[in-house]
Amino acid sequence: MTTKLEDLLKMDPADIQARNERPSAEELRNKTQTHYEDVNEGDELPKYIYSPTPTHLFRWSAAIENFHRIHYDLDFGLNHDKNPSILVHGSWKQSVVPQYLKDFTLPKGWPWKAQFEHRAMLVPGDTLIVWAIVTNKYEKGGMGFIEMDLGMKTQDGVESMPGSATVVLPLKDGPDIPYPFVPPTD
Amino acid sequence: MTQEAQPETQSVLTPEVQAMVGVEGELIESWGTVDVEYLRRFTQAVMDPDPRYWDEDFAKSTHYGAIIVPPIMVSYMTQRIRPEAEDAITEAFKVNPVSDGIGSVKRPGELPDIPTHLVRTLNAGNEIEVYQYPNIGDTIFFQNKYHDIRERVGRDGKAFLIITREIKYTNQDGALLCITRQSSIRR
Amino acid sequence: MARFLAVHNVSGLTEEQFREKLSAVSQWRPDRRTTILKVYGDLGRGKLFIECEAVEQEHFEDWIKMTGWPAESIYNVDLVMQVGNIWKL
Repeated sequence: MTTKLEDLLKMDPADIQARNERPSAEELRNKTQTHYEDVNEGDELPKYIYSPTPTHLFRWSAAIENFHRIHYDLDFGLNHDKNPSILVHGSWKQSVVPQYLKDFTLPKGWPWKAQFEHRAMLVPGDTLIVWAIVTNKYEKGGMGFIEMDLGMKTQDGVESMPGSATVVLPLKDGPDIPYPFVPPTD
Repeated sequence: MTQEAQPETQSVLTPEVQAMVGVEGELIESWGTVDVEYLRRFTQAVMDPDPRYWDEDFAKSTHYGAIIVPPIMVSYMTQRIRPEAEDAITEAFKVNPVSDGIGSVKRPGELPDIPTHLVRTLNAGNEIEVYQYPNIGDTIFFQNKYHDIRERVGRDGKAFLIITREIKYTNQDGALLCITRQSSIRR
Repeated sequence: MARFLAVHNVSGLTEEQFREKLSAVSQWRPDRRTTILKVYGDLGRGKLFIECEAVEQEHFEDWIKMTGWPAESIYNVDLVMQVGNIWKL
């Protein structure tokens, strides 16, 4: 049972980090299917907690070949761009979202689509909480569609990435979700 | 809050701007292929330990039948500097000793500029739609398009544009992998 | 945004008190860009030098009040040389 977002936000960073629900490799390997019928409006998804350091930021810059100095050059970031520190990448934040949705829908659901905005800047030392709350569900074409609000909040409750997503879950007695995914037509 | 432009507001959604909706860039082949090394670096950097990315026997037993690759990972292949291009970083600092590190590197397949006098750009949001996981060995193709352009009026009474650019990612078989969209405010 | 440098007299301040106080005010964040950049301490001579990036001096003064380390003086910083790079702020 996930800790409610409003309760997490009352905790100090160490306690938030202790409630991280990011799955291990084994948990992902053995994950059982969540079906459409298992999900209700208002349900909260597991909370993924991150504590980025400058080294995490460097690793991301290198992985995707992003050479923007604001992410690794503290002198430039502070004194040229007047940022409070080196900044967490928007590209990293937006790459966490598909992973989060993929994990929720495994093994045979589909993380169809998401949209979000980049708001507050994030820096090393921030504790980040990825969250989602189910807002709507419906069946279509023999598949179960789950809509949710999602985001990435800091330990102070600042929302840095307000967004929403739609994922697809199989019905308990329904067919497999097609792969490659083809959304049902109207 | 913003609102639609009223008759007395000077519109910035001119016919020339409106005509850009649907304009596409060239279909471009990304440098290199989807490989296990990039997959390892990317999934470690995004901190996703999923064995579907690295345990071949397990991946073959899954719904997907093979090692899968995060679709968003291939979107970053478009920004690779090709080996035949000049060293963009060195060039950026030659032009501007206080370069931000990315300079004004021209990317292949870029769209023509929107013909507007509005110069200030702010990020307004991103979208991703996922249809198929890329596989190891895939060659990735991408194509830019102006998906939508709208006009809104700010609290200051001045009109501004919301421009949405879309990039479609396909593989060597023409299979649609994912679509990303980025909206920006131009004011 | 503006850069400020404050000079403080903190006679008798110990390292433990220094760490404790800075930890206690570490959540201060009137906005996402405002930040205490550096605190230099010469505790032997009871002196602190504190660098802050803030929208206005008043925000920095609020933080200073929270620490209980009154500033002897606060300066505007217009030029910085850091690790060989010169920045006009």
